[in-house]
Amino acid sequence: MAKYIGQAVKRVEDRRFITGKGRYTDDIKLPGMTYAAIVRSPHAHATINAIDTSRALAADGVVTAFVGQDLADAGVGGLPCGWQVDFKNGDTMKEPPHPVLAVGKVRHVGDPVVIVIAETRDQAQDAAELVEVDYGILPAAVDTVASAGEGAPLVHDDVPRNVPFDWGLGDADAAAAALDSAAHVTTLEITNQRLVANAIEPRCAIGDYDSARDHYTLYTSSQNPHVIRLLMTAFVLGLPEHKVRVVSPDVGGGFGSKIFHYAEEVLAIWCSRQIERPVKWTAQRSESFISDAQGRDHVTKAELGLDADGNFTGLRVTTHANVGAYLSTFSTCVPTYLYGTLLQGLYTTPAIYVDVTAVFTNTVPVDALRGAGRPEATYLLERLVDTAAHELGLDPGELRRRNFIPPFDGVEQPGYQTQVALQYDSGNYAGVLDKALEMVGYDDFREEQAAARAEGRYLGIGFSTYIEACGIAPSAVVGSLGARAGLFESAVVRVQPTGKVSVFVGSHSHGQGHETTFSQVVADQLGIPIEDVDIIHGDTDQVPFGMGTYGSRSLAVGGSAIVRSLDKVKEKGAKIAAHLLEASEDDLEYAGGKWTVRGTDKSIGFGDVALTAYVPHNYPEGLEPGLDFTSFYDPANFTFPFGAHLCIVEVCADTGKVTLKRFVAVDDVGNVINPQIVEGQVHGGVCHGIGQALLEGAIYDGDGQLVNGSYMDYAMPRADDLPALELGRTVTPCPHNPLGAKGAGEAGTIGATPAVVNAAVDALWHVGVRDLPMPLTPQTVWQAIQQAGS
Amino acid sequence: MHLEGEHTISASRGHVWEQLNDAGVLARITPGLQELQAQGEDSYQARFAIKMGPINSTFSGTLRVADRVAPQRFRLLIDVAGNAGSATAEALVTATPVAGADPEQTRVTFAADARLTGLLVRMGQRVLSGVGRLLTKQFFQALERELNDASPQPAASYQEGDS
Repeated sequence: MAKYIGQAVKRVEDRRFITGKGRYTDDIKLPGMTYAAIVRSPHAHATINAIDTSRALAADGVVTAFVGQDLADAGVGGLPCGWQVDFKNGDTMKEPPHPVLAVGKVRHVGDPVVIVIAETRDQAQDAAELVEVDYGILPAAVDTVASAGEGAPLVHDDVPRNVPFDWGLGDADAAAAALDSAAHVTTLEITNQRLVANAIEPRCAIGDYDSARDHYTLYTSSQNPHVIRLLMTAFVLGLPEHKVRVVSPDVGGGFGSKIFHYAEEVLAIWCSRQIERPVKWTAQRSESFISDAQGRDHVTKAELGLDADGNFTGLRVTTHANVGAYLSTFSTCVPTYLYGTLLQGLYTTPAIYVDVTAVFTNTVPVDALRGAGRPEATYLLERLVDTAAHELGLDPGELRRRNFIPPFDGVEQPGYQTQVALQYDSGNYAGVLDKALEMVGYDDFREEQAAARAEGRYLGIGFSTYIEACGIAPSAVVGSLGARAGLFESAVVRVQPTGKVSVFVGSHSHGQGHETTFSQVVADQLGIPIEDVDIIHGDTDQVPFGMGTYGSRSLAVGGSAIVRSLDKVKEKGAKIAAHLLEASEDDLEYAGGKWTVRGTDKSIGFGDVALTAYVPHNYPEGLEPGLDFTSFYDPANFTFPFGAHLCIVEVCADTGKVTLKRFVAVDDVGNVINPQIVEGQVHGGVCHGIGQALLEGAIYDGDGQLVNGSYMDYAMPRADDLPALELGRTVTPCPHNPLGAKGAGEAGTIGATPAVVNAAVDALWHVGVRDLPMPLTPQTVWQAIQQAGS
Repeated sequence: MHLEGEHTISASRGHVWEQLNDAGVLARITPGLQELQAQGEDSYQARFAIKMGPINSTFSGTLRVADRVAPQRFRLLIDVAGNAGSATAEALVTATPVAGADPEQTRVTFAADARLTGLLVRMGQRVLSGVGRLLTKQFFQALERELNDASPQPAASYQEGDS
């Protein structure tokens, strides 16, 4: 039956990517197209006293220019936030306006102020430089914690202490009592530094207003075109949704940063309507650094209580989460429902409390970045566990085993109810750790480490056993938590008269290989060649609806929607086949692309049935022609992939340089459709996670200027920073979706980061180093060694 | 950003002081300075063209001299902006005779603190200190030439203002 599922089918999309034939938004050229450049604030916080566009308007090729007041006068609304998180005391979340172009005040470096439109890109950029803006510079709120303190400059005048909401989850009293009575408490102060998403394709948007049809088309480099259309039409521009088409063609990576609805999308559409010509805006890389939402940026105090036997008894986490200058689309759920709910980890900790204070600062907005909240949760948990093991003189593997939730499959044994709202679907947590320890040769390593230490070489091993919540998400559950959207997915399976199959799916592919994975599912389920399947996505005029791609949800939710439609195709096909075979439907079985009357050699193929559905001459009475089904799949629960990552590093005592010697990742992502694609996702994720541990970090100075806003200074991981990754897998199927799949896109970023830092601390514990701040630059590590030694 | 430098020049302090306080000379020896126009006493309108790493840009704004204590020191207040960002800087320039030097020598020092915005800070970070050192070196070399050369060539235009 399974000819394709489970096989490393080569990615069908790669031919066009590798040969340069991918079609990205910036590749699209429309007749009469104009080009936009955006004048952005060079200051983190300033009043706009005056704007003079006269020189720009007089420049060669300039068509027009607009300022924030022009949009305000036209009734253009602000960018909405997609998730409401109210204060602990019940007060409503403070949601200050997020204007498309700044009016009166700019609140971060990069805040858009003026859009200039010209005949060519160069003319637009040259003219943008002629716009004169008179700013009144104000003191900036920059530091995550200090900005929530008394006397900090206010980012929004009507948001006291810069706090849009605070949030708590779990049992505060129980956690406090557990810590008070614990035999040992491990405490860490952790900064999870801010990261830049760095998609290889900069964002791009084209607005195209068709006055003949009074119809709009937005081409945008986005992860979820339907959501963009909904937010833009309903909340910002008040356009009729059916008059707007949003197309996201090939997209060169997003990592979360292309989920959100951005000002430039609104500007492209609105300006196109004003000048009745297409308007294209493409970000320059330097612009991406100050206009794409950034990620992480938590400052946390975390305390783990243990009893005398090393059992976890309580966990208390207090976090300040920097949300930047405005509430981006999903900025509010990331440091709350995607963070606090993961603090159970893989452990049976009976008392947990997490307290989060969100903080506005005069910096680029912060939102979901690959992992989104879950890396922050996993980082602090896994750092706590390895630190506790060191402090108690216990083996970090043994300490974990004592505290792991026992195996459960979610079918025979029920799901595991955590202290922080979620119910895990299925898991075998000791299984992944045992496999990882075997792959790494743990006992041998400890001997090697001791021998190296005797020679003055510092080797260390770091553990990270993580869980994540993927397959986002049951709509009713997230709705009750403040989500302003449902999180289902849709899929159309359209069987053409010749038996070829077109699948229209709301999940968007921007590196994940959906065209391959989804084709494998369809080909196997219908028993047809994979070449007979085409996957179409990223166009609101073709796909009925979609919530897009993020939170490792495409296969678990989008794939399940496809399966639902396939079931309907087979069900109707069986009726047609039964009629043609003059048999009872109950006597038919479907396999290998044909319906067969059980126990006979009478059968009819999928293609014949498809043709009959469209040429219904000899056809069941009362049955509609056609073979085309739409399904909407709303998941019953999140999915919960998990895994164990082990990292071995050597730290140079003289220079502080951390070198990765080995990296073993054992991930359990449920059933796997294409192991090569899963490996690719894990590779990318692990490298991303290693990047955070060793290299990356957005640095703002005291004035709110991003001082490393280029690749000269923002260090991305490169091949020579990385070891060959050793990957393993266990399979614990998801019990509640038809594919048994859990999701693999974020696993690497969640598991890898703490493994690397734990390894470096393990290498240096014996010289007195207890903690290392990320990124582990040679300077940071060297200083820690010096301080520990003094 | 902090920038500082010093240079010992074979000339008397009085002579050096005169040169440093002559706007025409300053216009000639300040690297990147394209235009200097007097606006009032000790206040000038200036335009710079600077090439720094990936940034090649023009900056214009004001230059003011303050806290002048002849012939020892003065403060230079610079506030310029261009399409690659803005720079607000305060520089202290001092001239001290080198004790016992014969013929006379003068040590000129300067220390500047600058606040930068825009591309300058985002993309220039890696090259700022190197460029700063280079500009400093060019400035002192030009000053030395100015002091030694009887007939200097104009490098930038300088116009007396109305006041």
